[in-house]
Amino acid sequence: MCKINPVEKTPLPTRFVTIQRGRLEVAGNDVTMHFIQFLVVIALALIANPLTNGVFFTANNFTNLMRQMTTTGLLSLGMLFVILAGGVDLSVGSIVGFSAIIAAGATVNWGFPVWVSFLLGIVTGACWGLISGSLVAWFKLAPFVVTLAMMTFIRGLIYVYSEIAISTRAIPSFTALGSAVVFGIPISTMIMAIFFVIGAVFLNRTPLGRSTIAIGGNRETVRLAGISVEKGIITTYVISGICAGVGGIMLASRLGNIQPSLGGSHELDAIAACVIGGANLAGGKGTVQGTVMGVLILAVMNNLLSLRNVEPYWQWVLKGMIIIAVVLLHSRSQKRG
Amino acid sequence: MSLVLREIRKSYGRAEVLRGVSLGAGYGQVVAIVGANGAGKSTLIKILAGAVPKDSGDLELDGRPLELKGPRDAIRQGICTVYQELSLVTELSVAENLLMGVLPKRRGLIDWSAARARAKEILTSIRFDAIDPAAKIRDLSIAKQQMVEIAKALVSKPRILVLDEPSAVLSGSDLDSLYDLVVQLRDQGTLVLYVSHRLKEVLNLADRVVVMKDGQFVAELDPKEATEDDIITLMAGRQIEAIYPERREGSGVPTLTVGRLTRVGEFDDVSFQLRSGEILSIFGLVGSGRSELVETIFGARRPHSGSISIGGVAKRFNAPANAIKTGLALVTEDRQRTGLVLGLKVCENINLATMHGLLLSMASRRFDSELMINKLSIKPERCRNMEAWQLSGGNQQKVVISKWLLTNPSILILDEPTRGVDMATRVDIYQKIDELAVTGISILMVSSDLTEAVSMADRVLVMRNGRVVKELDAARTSEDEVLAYAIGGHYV
Amino acid sequence: MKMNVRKLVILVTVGLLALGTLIMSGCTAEEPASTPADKSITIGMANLALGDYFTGMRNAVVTAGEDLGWTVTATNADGDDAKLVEDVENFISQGVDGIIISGAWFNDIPAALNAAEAAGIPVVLVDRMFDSQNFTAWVGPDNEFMGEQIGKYIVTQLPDGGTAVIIRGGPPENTIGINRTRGVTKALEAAGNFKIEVSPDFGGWSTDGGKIAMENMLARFSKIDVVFSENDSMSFGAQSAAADAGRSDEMFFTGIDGANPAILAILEGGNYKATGHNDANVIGAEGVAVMARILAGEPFNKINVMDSPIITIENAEQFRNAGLWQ
Repeated sequence: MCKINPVEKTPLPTRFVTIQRGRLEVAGNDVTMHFIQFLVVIALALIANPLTNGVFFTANNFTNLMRQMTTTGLLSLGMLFVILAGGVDLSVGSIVGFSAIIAAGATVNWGFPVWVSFLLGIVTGACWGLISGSLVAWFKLAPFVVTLAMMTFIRGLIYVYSEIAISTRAIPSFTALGSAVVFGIPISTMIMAIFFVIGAVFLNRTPLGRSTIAIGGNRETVRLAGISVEKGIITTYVISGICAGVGGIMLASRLGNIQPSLGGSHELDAIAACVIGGANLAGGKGTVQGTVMGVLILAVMNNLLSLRNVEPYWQWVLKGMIIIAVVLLHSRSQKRG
Repeated sequence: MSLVLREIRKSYGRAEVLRGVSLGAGYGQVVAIVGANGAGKSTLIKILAGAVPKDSGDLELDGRPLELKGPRDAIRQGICTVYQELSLVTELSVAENLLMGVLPKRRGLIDWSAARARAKEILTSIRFDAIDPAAKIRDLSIAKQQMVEIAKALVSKPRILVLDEPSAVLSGSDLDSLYDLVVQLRDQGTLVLYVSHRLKEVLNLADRVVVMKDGQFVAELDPKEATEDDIITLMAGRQIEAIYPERREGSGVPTLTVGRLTRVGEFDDVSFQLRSGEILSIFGLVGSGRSELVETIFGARRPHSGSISIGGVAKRFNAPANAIKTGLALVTEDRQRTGLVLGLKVCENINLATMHGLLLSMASRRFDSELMINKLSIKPERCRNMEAWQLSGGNQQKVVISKWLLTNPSILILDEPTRGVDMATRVDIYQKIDELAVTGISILMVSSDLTEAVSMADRVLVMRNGRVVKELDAARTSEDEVLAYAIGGHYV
Repeated sequence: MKMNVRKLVILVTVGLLALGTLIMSGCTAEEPASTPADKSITIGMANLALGDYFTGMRNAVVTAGEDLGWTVTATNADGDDAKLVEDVENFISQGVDGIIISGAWFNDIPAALNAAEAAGIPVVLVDRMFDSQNFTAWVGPDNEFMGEQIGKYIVTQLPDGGTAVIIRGGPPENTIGINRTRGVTKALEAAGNFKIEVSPDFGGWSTDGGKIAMENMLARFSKIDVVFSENDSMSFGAQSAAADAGRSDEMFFTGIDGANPAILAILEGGNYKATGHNDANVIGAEGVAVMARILAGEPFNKINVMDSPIITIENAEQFRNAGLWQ
């Protein structure tokens, strides 16, 4: 029989917040990146005011800012889940357009009550996600290819359904959601915030959420641990579809007139927000908090540039530079020892 | 003295990994370096390979100071390193990997026949001729891949060759080829630095044995006189009386019955019975179908014919989830590829197989992982929130085992549980396995380590070419007999 | 994430670059609109998109406004109506006195009009009239009328009828194009002896696009008598396609917009016969004029239809070089 000295458990001091070697930790989690993101948001906000002749810090502008970040925020949340599991969803822009026009059409053309139309829009988003997810999970097709194809397919269907815009401005119950403001905060933004909270809880405290991150890290290990990888992957795409569906409803409600071209290229902003928020496009790394930061940074930047009337092309230049800087900063921490 | 290390120090942040390593070695020697994981061996190797700069201390080559500016510089200076992790490009062929960067060209295009010929030349000169230069790396077994890795290091004819656990994935004739090669190189005047956990092999092969502990060389032993126990004591810094626990009889109640299990091309007509409290080891050369067999029992692969019964009830598993529910657990042979999610925290990995319900309880997850870290002595202690890739191999293996222990298995399958694990941790793991058997858990253990397979088990199943060739009672057999059956001879 | 000197340098460099971009780019665009202490008038012009035509309109508005001593800020939503709504909301935040909206090919952007209405800021639409009627005034052409004119001209040129090819600009919901085509079709159908073939390919409002669409139509039909494109650029492309196929004498070409190249083509007396006068400068200038009347409290018309005479070889000379946008 082996006689080995019993291991003594020496109690080590735990502090809630520790700073060491350039890492900031709160309750054992590395929040250095989030802290830096937060600093960036503050910095942007601070220089924004003088650069816009004091318009930035007005209540009116803050309300606009919040409303403007709702669509990207919702899409980024859904995108985060897909990215965490190692995929990507390029079809969310088209899903936004599809939900918007289905909801509008259902109300205007088919006479459904507004809440039914909204539900319909969201459900169709979930269905598209189900299809994309199934193709990726069961047929093992590359997410980029599948969602790229879906993006085109869905956009085509939108035009098949309606070549012209559908107007909902005459239906106040339809437009209420997108324009209503409570205490200066748009209802649509509140809904986005609720989604983020639910998303965070789901990601951090449910088995399905935890296994999503694990799948992005190592599919085979997860499979051998008895978790259905297919179910996990499909769930992420369904979540993305639902988020896009809700985003589409919000946008439709806000605009009052839905063009079939609605929603294009929103997917890239969603991906950018996730990346700026620290998510690794290869999967397995990322947080809801980080994505929120990414959305904030993009929204403040957009607002600032719009107020200064910068050409859209400069905005692309800036966005590109920020993404590269962020990826550079992350690159060290993502190399394994 | 051809290679001199003097007071080499290296720290990562506040952790001092090397605390003044000194060594002198001449050409034409085999110097074995042994030490527990975390003793600093990998860091030392990386410094010699030019991959990592030292903080202080001197390196001298042939009497001149040696400053390595990077891995290519090291190779140019004549120091080649073969790491434990394979660095081959799996989609390319053996020849392309061997001659990477120096492929022969003819009129601007790659001359494939010349490349193959040159690769063949290299392989033959070190007597690894069983390898086909045109074969793609991913079609080769791990053992053959390792041999290509070694061959690659020899292309530039280095004066100093550093080998990190070269024998971990080898067995049988491949192992012999490796030993012959080391001897050949030594006789040709190469200095071979040989890092290994296999103490017996080290004592057989080396001219000098150096023991590393806590960032320093603590002792040098003469292999002709030292014993394994001497080395272990020096490595662990404490007295370890026996490596392997004493065997005991199982209770006899059959828990797992495998009948004529077959997967075409992998294993054929395998039948055996596993009893409660018993340790059954499966020994065989690499490629004998053992891993495929246990994966099939676990439900990760589907059998083509045959039966599996658990507790007398026939079962058909179409996914690991079913097997787990029935009480099986599989610790796979490649912990990095299929046992861990390296980017996740240790506590996440430990809880990976036991996430149930709608909402997870953070408190019980924390409790479970702390419990396991404690019970299996996973180091470092506060590793719960560390990411899995930061742990040493032995501790990573313990994490995987913890994950499965949490599922409360009645049948625990271990595939190469101590591969690449240092001796002190091995002892921990053997101890744990024995404890589990005592509580009535049936243990199926695949092993390529002959001593481990015979010493740990109650019975040994020998497999060759996908078939069970012999079942032996461990108490009444010997390592030679087991090996003989595994190779294909008859034991007299 | 480990911080070290290299990372810090990268961060700081990028930060400075980004800041620089921010500040510098603001210099090339106009200064943000805000009401300076001396209370001169500030106007915001929100453009849905800035192609050739719409750029000309924007320039006309800016020039006319500045001639009146106003500060005019023009934004570009690059085809995204959500962005246009944002631009309008930003104008409201900045406290402008009036908003001019160039809606391009969108039939309605209620959110923008609602926001301006709620803030009590007058809105003048130029060129594109929205379905929602809660704007203050509109100045623009009647696209359907222009189409009808061309259609009637074609009927007089081809009393026996024939095959008429129509090339649309797109996208399918573009109501400018829809209205123009509707006008032409109305006139041709009234004559009763025309076979109207609409190209399934959209010409994208460009010469290249028009050429490709026409090539396909040439391949399908062995006899074409007249071609109408929703703008002149596409008709030029179509004309070129016919020339390549050696069928220039078979048909003649018509378009709308009345840019100088079209005028010159008509004056050449070749197979380019007619276009509609649709001058962005005139529309833009008139939009500013209407806004001025609104701000001064003077009477104004809500609906202001611009003169859009048809231009043929008879009157082309007087329009030569009239269009300042090319």
